[in-house]
Amino acid sequence: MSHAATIELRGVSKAYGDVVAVRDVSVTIEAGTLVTLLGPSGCGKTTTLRMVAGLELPSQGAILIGGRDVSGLPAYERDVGMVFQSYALFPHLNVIENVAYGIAPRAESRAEAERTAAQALEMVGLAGLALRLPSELSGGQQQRVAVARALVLEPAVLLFDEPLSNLDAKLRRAMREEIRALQRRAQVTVIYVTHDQDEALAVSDRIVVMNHARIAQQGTPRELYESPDSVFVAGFIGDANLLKGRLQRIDASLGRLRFGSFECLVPHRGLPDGEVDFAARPEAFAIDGTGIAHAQVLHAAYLGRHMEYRLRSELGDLFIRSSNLARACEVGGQVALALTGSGITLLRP
Amino acid sequence: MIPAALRVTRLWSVIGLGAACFTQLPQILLLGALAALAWWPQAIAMPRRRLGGWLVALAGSGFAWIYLQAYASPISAAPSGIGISDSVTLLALLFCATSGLALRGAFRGDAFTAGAAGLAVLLVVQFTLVPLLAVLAAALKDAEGAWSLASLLARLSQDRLWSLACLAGGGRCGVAWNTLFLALLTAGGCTLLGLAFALVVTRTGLPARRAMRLLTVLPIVTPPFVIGMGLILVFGRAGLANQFLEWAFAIEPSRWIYGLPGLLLAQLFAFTPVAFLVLVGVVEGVSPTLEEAAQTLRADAARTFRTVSLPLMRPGIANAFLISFIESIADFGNPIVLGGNYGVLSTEIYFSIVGAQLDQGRAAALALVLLAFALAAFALQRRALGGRSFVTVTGKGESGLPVPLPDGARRAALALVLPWLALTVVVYALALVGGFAETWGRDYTPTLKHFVKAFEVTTGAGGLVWSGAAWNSFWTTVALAAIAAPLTAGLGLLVAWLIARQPFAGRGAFEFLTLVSFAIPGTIIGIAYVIAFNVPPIEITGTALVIVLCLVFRNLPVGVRAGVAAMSQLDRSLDEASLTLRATGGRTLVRVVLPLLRPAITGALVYSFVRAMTTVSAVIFLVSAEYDLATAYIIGRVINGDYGVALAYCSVLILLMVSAILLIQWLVGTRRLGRRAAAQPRGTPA
Repeated sequence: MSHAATIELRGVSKAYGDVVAVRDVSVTIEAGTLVTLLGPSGCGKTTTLRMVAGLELPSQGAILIGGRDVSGLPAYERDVGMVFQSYALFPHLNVIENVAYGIAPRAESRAEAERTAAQALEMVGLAGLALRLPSELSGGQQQRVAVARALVLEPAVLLFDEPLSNLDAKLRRAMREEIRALQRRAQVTVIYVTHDQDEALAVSDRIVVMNHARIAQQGTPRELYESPDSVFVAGFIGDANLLKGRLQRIDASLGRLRFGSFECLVPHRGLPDGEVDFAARPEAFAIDGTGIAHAQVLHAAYLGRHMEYRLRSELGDLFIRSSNLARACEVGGQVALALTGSGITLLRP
Repeated sequence: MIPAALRVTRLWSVIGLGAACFTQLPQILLLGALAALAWWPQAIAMPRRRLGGWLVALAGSGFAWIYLQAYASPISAAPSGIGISDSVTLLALLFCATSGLALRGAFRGDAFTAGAAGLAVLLVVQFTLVPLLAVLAAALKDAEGAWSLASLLARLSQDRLWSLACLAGGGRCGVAWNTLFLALLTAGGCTLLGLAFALVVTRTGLPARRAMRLLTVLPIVTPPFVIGMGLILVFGRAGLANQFLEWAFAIEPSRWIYGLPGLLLAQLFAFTPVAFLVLVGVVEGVSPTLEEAAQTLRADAARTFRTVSLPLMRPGIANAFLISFIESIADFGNPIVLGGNYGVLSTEIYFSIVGAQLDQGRAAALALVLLAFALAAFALQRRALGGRSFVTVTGKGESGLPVPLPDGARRAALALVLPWLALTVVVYALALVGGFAETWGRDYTPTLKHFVKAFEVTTGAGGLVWSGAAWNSFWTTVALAAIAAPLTAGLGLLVAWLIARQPFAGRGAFEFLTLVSFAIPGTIIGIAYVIAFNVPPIEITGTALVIVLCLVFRNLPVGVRAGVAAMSQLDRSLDEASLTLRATGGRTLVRVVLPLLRPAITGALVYSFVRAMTTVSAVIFLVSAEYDLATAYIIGRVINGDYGVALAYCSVLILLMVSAILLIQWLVGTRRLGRRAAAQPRGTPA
């Protein structure tokens, strides 16, 4: 399994009658990487994935897998495997028959097919469950069978459609690590669809954020969190306070940002001097006796590792997070705010 | 790698070429060109869209040319119509064209789906739409066969159709008014009775309520005229009721049962179960949570029922009314047995084609009027249901208890239901045992002579001799129903799969066509088949083939509906998973969809078999001396006044079908139970 392929989407659109589900999406996915399509429901991410799988054909544009144009090919003539949100295990076949389903018509014999399938099952750690029916497995086990079934055909591309959304929180964390390890081991290119930003940040080499049928921004998890381009991306990946301030450039990369009583240095990202929008992460502010801005606590919540506060300040209402659990503030009390020196990014208009 | 669509084209171009060799030169050349293109080694390297374009252009134009030529050429010039080799050639061209479409990216690029859709559309158009158009054409031609709008208008405006003389007192009303009037009364009565039954079954503690659900099976297993015959045994001139009145009060027996009152009574008996079936689903669909919510808002049982439950049922009630209406105007068996002088459209159509009149144009025009009624009711039904179905069953488990009926409503419902139930039992029982009486009304000596006459088996020189009068039609019916049932179920499931799963251009229209044929009365289908398949290019009147085709396409909507219902419970991602595992559409259908639909397939098989056995209105026009059917034979006996044999035959049919249904239900039922029992001991999934 070492023939991972590059995937390229060139100006791909999909319309159902008047409704445009995907509009002019262009993206290149390097061979052997894991790329996440992230966005709110209805943003077109699943439709994009289904077009790569061949379950929908694009209305416009081209899809290339390993340099070959597959735009008009049916799913069964493409070199892809897919893991469905519902797992889609065939309920009338047992585990080994499910896994062998894809190779059976190509294998020399039934025994041969089942041997290959057994190897795949072993790879996902389910060797002992070959004769069970899918209905007799737990959610996590069903998930693994679905992965084994997709991998057994040694596809160049593996597609995951919200694979963890039916699992509980603990199992989700374990499975996403497992998927990541499996992808590295099997050397396949993976496209992974999710609406969960934590999951996307944790598993991806790169993330493609989609909104309203278009690509909003793409980049590494770090780029997207630390320098979101738009209000939407800033709000969708992590929490953000959207504020206004005045920018004054000081050199080729940095500028001075003033808002309220605060002042800080930030990369100016090519924006002109004057009024700018920026995003301040909840950890950009600290509650500190030495703070220079005063605020009133509207709401406080204890979340175990940290506190979350909603404050009324001269900047408007702010959402901030504080790891100082020893000195939790009372609702209605007055606090002083300081900047932590990170978590502030200018947004392009 | 050779694309699957090209492999399909290669196969069919060769088959088509072989078949075309028995036809004409242009067709041989066309198929030859297609085969050469498909087998040309460079074809694989050609861009898919261009190759597909060539296939569509060549095969599509060839298909259209052959098809149109068959229909356009004057009757005298067509030597033999469409024969077997022509059919195979046409099929080959169709599949080459659909493969071309798949290569161009239609049907998600799958040649199997494209071919299946092409075949299904062709069959449904050829055997549903074309016959209906033939009816329209026949109605537009005058006695000499020339096109004439005037003759259609003349036929449509006859006094016999639209006269209102009965309102003015004296004289008879037109059959169109008769049909409407009867249908409105029947629909109103059936809805009321059906609602009462549904409420009693679901909302009271009546002990017999489980048994009452059996009612829903009755109209499926009984030929439509059985009720009419049972009523004659009770209320006819020589019936039990009249004899009692004459004996006790010396009241002269009358013939009131023949006409509107008897007809209405018979249809109420026949179609109340249908309304009940619809309404029981509606009543059960009203969420108990909503009723409990009303009660926590201080509404008592009566107010809850009036302000919450009943309004929620309203669309379902409208639906039941319209379905009963459609059943009533389509009914042929009861009017022919009980109608007397009260003519309705379906019998009028029958008599204008089999009677002394033999006027196809008139029959076609009457069929158009009936069709207009049916389509209007269908349109209203769609609107009644469209987007306003308040059935509130959700996937969430609901723990609420339905509110018991308020006292007044309960008493009213029971007062309607119990006597009606008793009468139903009497009527059916008499229809079953009537065949054992010497002569009903005069001599009740038990006898088997009617059964012997119908079903006698003697041993002759060559072994068993089926010498009874009914055997011929009996075996023909069983054989044709057995041929038609798998075809109906198979085609129905294929169409359902296309409608439920495959997006393609024109799917909406296709779905509408199959749905609308649900509402078309059988009489119209029958007359349409007579008119359409009596002449080239498809000349099959008098054969068994035309009866089988009629049964298949008459019952197709049932198979489609069962299939769509079953498929909507199957997660679509199962099909898609199969496709991403390198299985083509065909393998997906065979290996994944069909195994999961096995109960639905069994159901569709039984239902189409039973419907094929009991249908009367459509096939009565198509039977011949050689291929007579049970129902047509019984109607013939009734018209001749030979009730004994007719009743004996009916009871045999009913018993046969009840046992068939029970057998199948037992088989399907144990299979399901077995699986659940096997799955249980091994721990529950998390």
